[in-house]
Amino acid sequence: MRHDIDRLVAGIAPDPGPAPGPLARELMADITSIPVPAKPARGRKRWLFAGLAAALAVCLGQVPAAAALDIKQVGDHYEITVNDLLADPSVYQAELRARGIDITLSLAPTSPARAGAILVMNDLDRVRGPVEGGVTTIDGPGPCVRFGGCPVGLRVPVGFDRKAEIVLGREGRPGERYTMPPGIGMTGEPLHCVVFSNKTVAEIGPMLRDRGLEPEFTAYGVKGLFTPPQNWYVHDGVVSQAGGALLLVDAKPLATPKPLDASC
Amino acid sequence: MGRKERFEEIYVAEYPDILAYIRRRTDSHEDAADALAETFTIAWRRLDDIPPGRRARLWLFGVARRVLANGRRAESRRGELVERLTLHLAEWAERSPQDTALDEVRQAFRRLGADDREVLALAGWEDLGSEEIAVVLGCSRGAARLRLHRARKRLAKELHAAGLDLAPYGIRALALAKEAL
Repeated sequence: MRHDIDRLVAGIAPDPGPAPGPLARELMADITSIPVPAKPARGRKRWLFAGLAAALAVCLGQVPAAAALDIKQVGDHYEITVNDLLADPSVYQAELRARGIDITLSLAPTSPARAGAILVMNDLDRVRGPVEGGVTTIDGPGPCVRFGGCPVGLRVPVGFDRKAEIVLGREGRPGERYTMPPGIGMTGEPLHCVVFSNKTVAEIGPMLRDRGLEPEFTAYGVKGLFTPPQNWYVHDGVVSQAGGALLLVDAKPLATPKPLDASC
Repeated sequence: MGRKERFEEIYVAEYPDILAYIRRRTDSHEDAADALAETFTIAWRRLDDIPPGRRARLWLFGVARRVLANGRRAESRRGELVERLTLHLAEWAERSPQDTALDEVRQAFRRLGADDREVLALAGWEDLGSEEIAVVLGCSRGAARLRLHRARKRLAKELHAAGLDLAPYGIRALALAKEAL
């Protein structure tokens, strides 16, 4: 999911510049008029390795269903994947403790599309850095369009003796607010591939209700929710619970509307 | 597909993103026009090295990044075209109003080091994940994740120090600011 800080940084993105016009075409014609000496293609090897890595990831992703967690030792690491997202967290804990792994695994309600997403929340520097011996995530096979990767599991060094807190997304129950609210335009969310930034409050209401979501509003500097004027502009939004959206609005439109996800 | 057709396909698809990447990191329109021309000239010369699909964009970001870092000047033969492109960018900037919303965030962002700004910008402006950021920066994914995390933490700290209320930005921004204290 997109990080709050990244959303803030996205809000201050300078204008992207003019769309390609005749000058851009002129530049293209100019560049392609430069003669290029023939040479053998490079970089094929790299792609071979990338393919190998992808194949490995596929192998690692396949786990037999058994306990709530699947923990197996691969070399000097444990590879942990979650089999049962609905298990009681204490069951995960018990299974981890049985291997001497001091990881607190908790579940955070989120959207159905985010369920299964893993966030290593606390002590991140200590547990997940490039430093030897940290907890790392295992990404699922195939292209990943989710911000922060598509982890399907964790890799924990055997003998890991530090504490780590892992938060795992689980589907929120009706009426339960998400503590991992996904961006409303993310893959699998209601406004994926729909332009919503800079829509007015009046416009966004019907757009969301058509998709079964009731909007709520907040703004920078506003504590909690409020009812904005109908002519204010949507800057960003998250799915806040099943059937609910929380929108960040402002009196002024964004100078640079949020671009659609690259996968659209 | 011929060489020229492949280049044109990449150029047309990636031009807006590469221009945005360069514009957002240069203060002068001339430098931006220069770097844009240079980046795509390198792409034309090294067309065989450009990976297929979405990775082409990451490859180009990497090239643009190095072009900007080197401060390389485009070839003089394109001088006149680059000049017109410079004017075009300047005119565009004059017509685009300066956004003043989120000024505190902008100031806090500017107070960060260049490395922190770059990794945050790749995530927030170019909308890249840590895996993609790793490709652009030419580092391991773990290193990219760590750099991103540290940069977020430092920005959260700056914002907190500036007295900005982080609550509307979500629980994770708050958690990061707390962690940074």
